[in-house]
Amino acid sequence: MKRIVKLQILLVALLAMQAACGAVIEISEMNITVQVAEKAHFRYEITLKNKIDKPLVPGISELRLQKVESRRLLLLPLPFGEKRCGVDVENLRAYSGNMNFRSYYEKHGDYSSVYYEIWYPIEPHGEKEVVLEFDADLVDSGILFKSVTFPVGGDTDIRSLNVTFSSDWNLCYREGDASSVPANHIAFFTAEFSIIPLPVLPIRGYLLFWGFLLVFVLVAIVILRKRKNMRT
Amino acid sequence: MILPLLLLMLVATSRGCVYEIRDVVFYPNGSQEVARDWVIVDFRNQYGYDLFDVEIGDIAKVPVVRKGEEVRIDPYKNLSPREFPLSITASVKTFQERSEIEYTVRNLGNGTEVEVRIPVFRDLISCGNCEISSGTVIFRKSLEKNETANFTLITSRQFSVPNGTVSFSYEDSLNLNFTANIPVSVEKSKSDSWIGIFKVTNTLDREIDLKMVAFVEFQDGSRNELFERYERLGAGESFTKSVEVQSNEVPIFLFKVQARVSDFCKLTMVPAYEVDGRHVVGQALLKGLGSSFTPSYPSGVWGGALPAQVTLTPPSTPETTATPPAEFGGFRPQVFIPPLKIPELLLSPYFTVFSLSFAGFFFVLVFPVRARRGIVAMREHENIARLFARRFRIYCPPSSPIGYGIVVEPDEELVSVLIESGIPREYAESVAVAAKVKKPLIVDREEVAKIALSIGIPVIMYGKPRRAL
Repeated sequence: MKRIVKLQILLVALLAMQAACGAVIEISEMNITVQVAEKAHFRYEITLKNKIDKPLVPGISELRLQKVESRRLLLLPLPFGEKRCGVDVENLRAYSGNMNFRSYYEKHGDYSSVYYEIWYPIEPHGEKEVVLEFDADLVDSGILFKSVTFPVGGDTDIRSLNVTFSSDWNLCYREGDASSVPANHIAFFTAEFSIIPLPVLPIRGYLLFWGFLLVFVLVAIVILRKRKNMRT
Repeated sequence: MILPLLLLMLVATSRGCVYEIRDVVFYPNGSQEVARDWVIVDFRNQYGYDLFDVEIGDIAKVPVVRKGEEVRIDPYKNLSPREFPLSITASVKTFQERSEIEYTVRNLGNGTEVEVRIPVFRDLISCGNCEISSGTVIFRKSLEKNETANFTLITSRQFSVPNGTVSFSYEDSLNLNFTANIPVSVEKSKSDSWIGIFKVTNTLDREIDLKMVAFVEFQDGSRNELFERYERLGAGESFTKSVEVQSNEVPIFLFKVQARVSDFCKLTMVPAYEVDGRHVVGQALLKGLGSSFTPSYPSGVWGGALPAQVTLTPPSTPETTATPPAEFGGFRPQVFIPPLKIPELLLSPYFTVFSLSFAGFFFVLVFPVRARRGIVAMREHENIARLFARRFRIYCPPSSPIGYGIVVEPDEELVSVLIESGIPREYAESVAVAAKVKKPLIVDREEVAKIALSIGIPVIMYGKPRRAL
């Protein structure tokens, strides 16, 4: 791998909203499109539903992102001593139709928060569609494979969830099929892409590929040694 | 009764203009605490003609509002928190077996209808000057300026009144000014000299302020100002002025008119209360009180009007499903979710994988990067773009990505300009992307194609030409 980075991304607290008990708002539909290139372009199409019979202002919503990196020995990552850090976010914006919402992000100690503010009321029992987009440095890139992992969830019910990945590389592995996420739960989604035209595999493509290559090399070494021994 | 009115005003508003919303908590000692104070714009053009350069107070400026069009703006304008001209004071009289809590509602502002709702509680015996309906004590009264009204709760000697809500609204006016189309004419005639007749007619239904400047220009390019006038024209009135010009050449008369209409629009101030970072609009929170609690008013709120031994109860649920907040003042929601552990499965193969990674370099030679031509498309044109995909790179805007496309971030300023020109966001972004990557744009809408061509972007049209809007 070119860069030895992320082992996993911990996205924490999507859309910090009201307490689950007596919730006044929910996400009736969330479509997430992740375009995986050098960075991951996230596009959240969020439908906020006002569950009460009064106008409701969503106020400030928060999306937390966290990246976990392994410590390195020279260029090689070590399987212990993880390091948590925030995520760099670029090209952030939130809007609904032609109405733009204030959005910004802050990098804290070991996580980043993406904020967007909606101070316009949602009608009683009405819905508001909001689009949130940003680029995040969350792609685990290698020579032959690149992958992205992110969780979805928070303290708001997500009634209908649809996650779509796309890339100019071939999708070879996908994990996570939650179609809804209850409040205070998190669902993980992973996609792995390869420059090799592999079919969609049941396990991670890089494990299969490099594992196969390792076995092949070991077998070759054993055979060569046996032949050498037989000659001598 | 007042609540549905507020809902109608805020949601299906057709006569509103600006709403000021204040997060507020009323305490039974007559004080109140306003946490956040912000405004939103909900303006509908009911003038019967298009408005231009619309200024709504110092809150918002809108270039164009078409006849009948509704404009909703979230201007992110926070005001310094101001209190409502309303106070609610509770006084307690304790008898041998019961207590009487008298609430005094005083309106210091313009006339408004006030509705206080308190959930029926265990110690309640009866209420005076109010009604009990669906498990709620309801006091409703229209109050003129400086008018006071009372209602009484009869309770057990020991009591604990839960939190309630207060509904009301105040109205004020806000400056609104704009320009509109009015007919302007210049007639030219010749007798001994050239005569220019300048005419403006106010065809609007209200007074307008005019700034008029007339020029005469000659063929050699020289220009002279003929007059500059400021006039106020009533509805239907006209302004006419003729000017003689001595010249052997044929002059060109120019007439520059700026018309401005000054009007007012309605400013409606409504309360709200916070529920875990969300804000329920139309109601304020009325803190409860109890007979045996230690006072715990926020600092600076204590008004001294509350009798001894009467204090606040901890927050409880009012009549709605919403749970009022325990504390006010923090606007940014704080959610703590403990860090997640990384599965060992993901850690262990790394050493093995990287020790062999050099072997993959040869694949780079097998899969060289192909330099291809490109086009810009959006999701709506995915099927057409697919035809190009084998020979062309497909670029797409982030608001309308294509599965095999390359998402390019457009220049937001250009997108805003394009949106203002009347095309939807996704089209505006695709045009901006095409401008950025300098590639042709696939488009099926005539208006979008014209705009793209006007800024030098090649267009691949397909389908039956349609208008963008």
